[in-house]
Formats: sequence, C-alpha cells, structure tokens
Amino acid sequence: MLAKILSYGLTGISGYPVEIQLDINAGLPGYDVVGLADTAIKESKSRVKAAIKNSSFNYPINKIIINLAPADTKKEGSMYDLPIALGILVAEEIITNKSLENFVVLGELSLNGEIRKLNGILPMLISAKQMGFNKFIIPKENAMEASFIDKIEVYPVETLKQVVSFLKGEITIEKNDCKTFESALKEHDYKHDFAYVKGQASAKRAMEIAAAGGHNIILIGPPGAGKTMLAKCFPSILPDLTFEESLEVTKIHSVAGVLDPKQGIVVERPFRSPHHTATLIALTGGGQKAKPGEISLAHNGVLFLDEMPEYARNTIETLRQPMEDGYITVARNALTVQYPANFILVASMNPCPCGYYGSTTNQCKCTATAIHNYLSKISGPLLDRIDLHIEVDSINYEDLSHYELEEPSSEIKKRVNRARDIQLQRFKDSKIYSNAKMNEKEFKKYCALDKDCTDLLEIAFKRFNLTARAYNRILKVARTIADLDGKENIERKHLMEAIQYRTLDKKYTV
Amino acid sequence: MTIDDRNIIWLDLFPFLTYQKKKKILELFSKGQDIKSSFLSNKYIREILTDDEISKMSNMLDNQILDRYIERFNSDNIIMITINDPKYPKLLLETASPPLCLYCKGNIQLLDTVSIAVVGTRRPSDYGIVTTKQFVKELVQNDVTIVSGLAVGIDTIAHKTALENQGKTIAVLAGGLYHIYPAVNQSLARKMIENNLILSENSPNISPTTYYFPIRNRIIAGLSSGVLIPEASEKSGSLHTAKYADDFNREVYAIPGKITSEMSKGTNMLIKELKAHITLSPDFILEALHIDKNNKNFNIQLDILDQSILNYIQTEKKTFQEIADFTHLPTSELNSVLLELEMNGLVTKLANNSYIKT
Repeated sequence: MLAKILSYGLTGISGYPVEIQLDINAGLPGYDVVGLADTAIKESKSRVKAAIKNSSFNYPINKIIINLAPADTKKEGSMYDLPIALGILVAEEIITNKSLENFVVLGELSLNGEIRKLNGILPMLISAKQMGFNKFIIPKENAMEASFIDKIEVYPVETLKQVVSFLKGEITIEKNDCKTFESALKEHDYKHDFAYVKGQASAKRAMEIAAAGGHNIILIGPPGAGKTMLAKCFPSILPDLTFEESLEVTKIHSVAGVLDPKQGIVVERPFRSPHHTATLIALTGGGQKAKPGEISLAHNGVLFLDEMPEYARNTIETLRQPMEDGYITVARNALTVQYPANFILVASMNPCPCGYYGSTTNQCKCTATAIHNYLSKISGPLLDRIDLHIEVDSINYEDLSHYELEEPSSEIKKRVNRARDIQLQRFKDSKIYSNAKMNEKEFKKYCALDKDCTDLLEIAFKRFNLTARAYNRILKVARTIADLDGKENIERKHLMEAIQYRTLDKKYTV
Repeated sequence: MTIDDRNIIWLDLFPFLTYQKKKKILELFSKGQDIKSSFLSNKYIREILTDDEISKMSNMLDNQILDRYIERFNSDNIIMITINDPKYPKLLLETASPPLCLYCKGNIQLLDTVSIAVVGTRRPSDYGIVTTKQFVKELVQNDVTIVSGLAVGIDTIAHKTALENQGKTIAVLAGGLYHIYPAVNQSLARKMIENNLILSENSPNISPTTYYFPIRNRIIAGLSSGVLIPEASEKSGSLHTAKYADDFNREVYAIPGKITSEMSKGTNMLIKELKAHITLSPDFILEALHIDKNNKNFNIQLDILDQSILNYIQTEKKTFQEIADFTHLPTSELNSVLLELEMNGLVTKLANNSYIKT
C-alpha cells in the first residue's frame, strides 16, 4: 500500500516541496526513514506511534518504509510528524489518499496526539504559494503568522483526531481569516523615549538623521554619558515598517524561531544588541543548520554594538561585507544559504581605554599610544561605512535636575517619517528604501552640488584633512539633512552640518 | 664629497660608536686622510675601541661597501650635510657638541631660517592644545620656522598647525630616517618631506633607542633661536631641551599654567628655576626675535551671532550643549554655525564635542 502526502522543507528563508511516500510491507515490525532525514525526523517514530495509538487508531504491526523525496536533499525539523502519521492512517485505510490531494501538511506531534507549533511557517507558505500550492494544514499556534498571506486556504488544526475527522468530512474546520497588515499595527508603546533623555541635543539630532536616512552611526563618549540610553531610544524614532519590509523580517524571525506567536508578524523594527562576547557565528549566522545570525535578525532594523572595540576584531570585521551588500551568505558543508542583513548599525565606544579622554569631569590617564591602539581596534574600512560620528558628553547635575520633559520620540518620528516618504518616492523605481543605500548612479543624480557647496567642501577637505572616503558619506548625510528640511537640493547649511559628523575622520586624537 | 665627509658617514654607520668616540677617532687622523685605509694600522685606536668593536668595523673597510650605502641614501633623496659643509646650520655649529653629520630629507633651505623650537608633553590638556595652536599659527604667519621632535602630543600639534597654516617646520628624529618614530606619525613625516624637512644625526639605518632621545634634544635646541614650551610635566623630556637651550644661550619661553595642573608643573618650574621667560603671547617671542609683526591677519566679517558665540566661549571651553543652551539655536543650525567658525580658524573643536576660541 502506498501513500503520498505533500509537505514542505526549508533552506534558509525559502522553502521547497517535499513529498512523503509511505509503504507498508509484510515482515518484522519496523520503521525506516530514507531521504537524508536528520535525527529529529528519525525520532518521529516514537511520536507518531504514540500519537496514533493515543488518538485511538490502529498502528500497523508491519514494516513501514518512509521516503522523503527529493531523496538527495537533507531534511530537518519536526514538521513531517503529521504528514507521516496521516500517511500511516492512509495505509491503514482509515482515510483515503484522495482526501489529502492538493493539501500541504505541516505539523509536529506530541505523544497525546496534539499538534505543536513549528518554526519557519511563513517563509514555507510564501514560497509554496509562489509554487502554486494553495491549501494548507498547519498547527493552530502558527495560524496568526499565516494569516497575513492572502489568496490561500489555511486550515489550522489542534489534534490528529481533528485532522482525521476533517479529512473524512465528518467535521469542518474554519479557514484561517486573512488579516491586513494595517490591522496588525498597533499604537507603539516604546520602553525608551527621547522625552526622558536630558540634554544631548547634538546626539539626538544625529540620531534623527540616522533614522531618517538609514545611516550607520557611532556614539563616542565617557562612561555614564548616556550612550546606551540614546541607542535604546533609537527604535522609537525609526520610520514605520512597510508591509514588504515586515514580511522580510518576519520570514527571518520565523526561521530563527523568535517570532511572537500571538503577533504573527513583526510590526516593529527589530533592535538586536548582541553582547560583545558574541562569536562570529552568532553574529553572521551559521552553525550546523545555518541559522540566521544577529545581523540577519536585525534586518530592516537596528544592530546595536555597545562598546564596539570590546568585540573581537575578526567578529566586527565580518560586518563589512554585509553592511555594503545588505545580505550575508552562510556556507556550510551541507548547504549554502543567503540571508538578508540590511540593518542600521548603531555602535558606541569610549574615546580611550579609561574612558575619560576629553571629559569635562574626569582626568584621562591613558597614554597617547594607548588611545591610538584603542581607536585602531576599529579598522578604517569599517569606520568608513559609518556615516555619522557623534560625541556624547556626560550631563551635569543641573541638567539632570530639570523636571520638564524633552521633545518626545513621537514628534521626532513624524519628521523622520516625512523624510523617509520623500526617499521612498525618490527610489520608487529601485530596490532601496533609504539614502544610505544609494549606489554610484543614484548618488550622482541626487547628490549634485552647486558651485558654492563644491567650494565649501573643498575648503573643508583641506582644512580638516578629510579622507576621500568621507566624501560620499558626507554627501549622503547632507542629502538626508536636506530631506529632513524638505528641500529639493542640498544647500550650504546641510553640507556644513554633514561635515560636522565626521569627527573620527578629522583625526580624533592629537 | 670629500674624504672627510666620507669618513664621518662611515663612522656614523656603527651604532655602537657614541658621539664622543667618533670625535676621538677623527682626532687620531689628519684632515683629508682616509680613515678606513689606515684604520687597523693606527696604534691608538685600541685605546678608544674594544677588540669586538674593531673587528666589527674592520669588516666594513672596503670602499665599495661605503659607496653602496651612500648610493642608497642618495637614491632615497637623503641629503647628507656634514659639519664641514658650508650648508651646515650656523646656530647649531655654535653649540658645544654639534652633530658630525645631519641626514636630511626635504627642503634643506629651512635650516637657514629663523626658527623657534616648540616642544612639550606627550599628553597635553586642552590648554596645551589651544596655546600651542595659537602660538604656532602666529609664529608661522610671521615666517618663523617651527622645530620640534615629531613626538605625539605638543610636538605633533606644532608640526600639524604649522602645515595647516602653510608655515615651515622641521622635525628632528632620534633614530635614523628609515625608522620614523612614533609609527603613528609616519604619514605626518611623509607630508613634511614634501615641502618641509625631517632630519637626524643618526645614519638612516639606525633604529631609535631610549638613549638617543635626550641627546637628540640638543639638536632641537641648537637649531633654534629659542625654545617654547607650552606644557610639560615635571619629568618631561622637553625640560632637557630647555636645559640645552639655556646652556647654548638661547631663550627659553615657558607658558605659565595652573599650579594644580599636572601638565603645567614643568613649565612653571622652568619659570621659577631656569628663569624662563613668562610668555603670555606670541608677540613677546616675535619682539625678542626682532620681527615686526606682519598684519596679514585676515579680516572675517562676523555677524552678531558669531560674535556673541565667540564672546561666550572666550575664556573656557564650552560643550556643544552649553553653546546650544546659550544661543537657543536649533541643533541643525548651530552645527553649521560652529563649523563655519572652525573653518575660519576662530574656534577649535576639542574631544567630547566641546569648543574653545583660538
């Protein structure tokens, strides 16, 4: 007796169809899985057997052979429990194979026959939809996640028994409601708000620019100056996610298993802050299963590296390529996966090993060489990719003791959204969303300068010994400042402000 | 190149020969005599050098070896000015122990100009940074050459400020020219070779050791009409330079500082013990050098806002936040106003986003 059930597998954030073929032969009772299955799939034997028995069906006392086709691709995960169980029930003639036609079945079984949630449902469903499949049986706990894909039939199920009754036509299961992205958006309640950050006007302004143009930013200042607090407030002024961006983020988070099942889709820009002991693999992604790393989880959001020089040098150096390309390719012996990694890097650091170089309150005790060595832990090419450098000074007591609130994040965000709308309009024909990602051609087109500005830039370059690398960065930032100002062209004052944010190029130490 | 010049350059190749030993060896031979050819036959040589040293030197007696060295130095654009050369700086010749040869790279005409040495601590405070910039700018605008030691801190600021203001500057290195120290300043040294000058008394191949630094300071003092010390701690090497300058009858200018400041202890001590000039403005040095101050100071049209900011940050450094609170300007605007002032050289941006008037 042969049963054929359709299921789905995952490589990276895209899926591929898997056909589960099941045959029952006479012979000693046994359970053989072929088709490069991993341990989780091989262990399905015990779960499937217990789930079938505990759902009061018969488990065959024969030799069961299961093939996962295509046979030459490695399969992993627990999503094949349910299709295998259904296959056995088809073989036992409890349900017909015909009733399962056109269904893609996914689900993990627990011993009592309940169906448990899976990781990676969204990317699998999206790619299955593209392949022309449109009927799905998935765990109920994943229903939210699936509800943002339109034009497909999704049947969320809770137990094996329920699935069988449904396939026999004894009961009906309500199709999953399709939700719109707008309905998922809720009033954000951010834990950190700029209203509670005293002073630091220049740092706030720089962060506003970073948020508006998607620029990378580094905060430099003594301990206790509020660098981390500023960074934590950053998500509260980021522009809202668009639906396309949100789907990209949700796919990655679904694969990594960090998606909130109640929310179903990611509606806030992610904010990832890996500790400085994080390994290279943790950051870039990888491991046996080539899981997405922190930089991919921060896709379309923020990657915050607190105390950047404390990270292992090779760890932060690996950020260079993804920062340029917006994706990372993770190659493992079994598979090569490409994950998007388009994030805003927010980094913080002390100006010197002791932290007090240039501080108004404490005396720095570091030698010039020590400061130089500390700063050179961040290589030129990496620094080159950070558009905004801003120094943060510690706040004095009088400022702290004021009780009135500062400008709230919601106000700043309005300006950021306005500037971002201009950019979305500007780049509507290309694949980018922000000024920071402009390529050479777009750069030439949108960052043109008049005579006055060209002269100014030339003087500034000579005066401050700016590197050639700084040139593009300054102009891109100036473009964003002009957008915030609602101006069509880059003006003198925009350019001047942009130059101010290249502190580290201006040779930070003497 | 005369035989005497070649003798000096040959002796300079051996790092174990101190200045005194080289002098003594030169005295053993008459002018115009090739030391190498009669080196081993001279009976007094053993009184000056150890057997080990002699055997090392006798390996290099071949004329071709020396030729190869000189060729290499020439091809690297290193100019050798020996003590017999008319181009040798007069001021340096007057000192007690003038270097036998100066290995120079860059514009050697600078050796013939009026110069002031500017040296000081490697870890200047804001006060030191600002005063150094202020003094050097004023001095170079009046055609005074700035001599310093390429060390980090005050030395670097002095060199850089001179370059920024299209002034002339000389760096005196402790090691040979192939060993620029500190490595941080390699690029600065390269920039100085273009129109300015770096020099050393050591043969280019000799790497710097701690021993060379204090004796190098005698050249800095010797080349200059005076030594300006903006900031120095109690144990600073720049105090050596001041001491040499005093011995050579050159002026020592010290900028007084707070008695509580670690980095002003050295300068205050110079004023007290060495009777260094209490230097309150660059004009004082210019007067002492009999230079009429040229008033090519550019006139910049300042509006009321710029002027009020300048008045506000006149006395002490102010952070960006403080200036913002004072002016009530939006951050975006203040950023460009401050950059304008900085580009015109009216204010200097310090670490930690603070500003001070220059």
